[in-house]
Amino acid sequence: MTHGEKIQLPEEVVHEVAGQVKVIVNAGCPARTQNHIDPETARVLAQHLNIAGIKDSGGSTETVSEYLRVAEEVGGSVVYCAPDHLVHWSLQQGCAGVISGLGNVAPQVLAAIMDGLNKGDTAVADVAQLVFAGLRKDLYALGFPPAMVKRALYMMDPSVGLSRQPALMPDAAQDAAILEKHSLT
Amino acid sequence: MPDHHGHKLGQIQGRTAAEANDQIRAAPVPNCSMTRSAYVAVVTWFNEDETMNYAAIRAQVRWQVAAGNNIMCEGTNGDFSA
Repeated sequence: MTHGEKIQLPEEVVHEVAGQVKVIVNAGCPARTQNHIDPETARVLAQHLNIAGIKDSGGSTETVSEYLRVAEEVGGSVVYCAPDHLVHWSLQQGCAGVISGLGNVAPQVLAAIMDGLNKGDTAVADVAQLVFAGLRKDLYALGFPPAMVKRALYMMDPSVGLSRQPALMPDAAQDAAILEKHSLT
Repeated sequence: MPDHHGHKLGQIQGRTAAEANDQIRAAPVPNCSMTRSAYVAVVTWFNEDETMNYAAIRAQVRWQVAAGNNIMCEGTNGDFSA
């Protein structure tokens, strides 16, 4: 198999695996796995009752929209969205929830987005989302996002410890500047 | 063609997918629905010797819950290889 080659997942294999466990949320994370879960594959997966839904980490609004369409057509399936700049958008589109990495660093900002949305105050959610997206852009520009999240936490509280190797060690001065800019120091 | 367990493709432990779904419907997993919520893929806190810092993990979870967030563990952010 070559990089980027499309994999045709036999439906029988899907049902065989899903039949062995209770609840699955499929995770689409092409940046880490180099594999993209095609919406039509998501449709096959969603038809198994042990598969609760799909989480997208790819960051393509088009893909999330297609997953949502599949979920609606199949019924009983949910879509979760991971990229932190899409929290507000994805929930407005109909995602069941979000999985956030940046929430480790700024839990109150993430909670403010959710609170604004759930109370129908989209203005509050919009402002909080802009703050969240700005922090994401600045922090993730420096390196591997999970390592940057842990590094930011380390700058706020060293007791978190370091990322396990091999994780790139960013520049402490850059980290401090970002955290100060976002009032996280 | 049967596999090495004697199952035919399209069957789950000798059952078809439709039969498996029927069984799942008869005995659903309780409280497994997730409403519109935010889950934080939490990092794993380590001591200097890379053992788990359980006290700090508990504090982190309480911090997230106090903020109004839910917890997801063992994701990429959690140094899942740990």
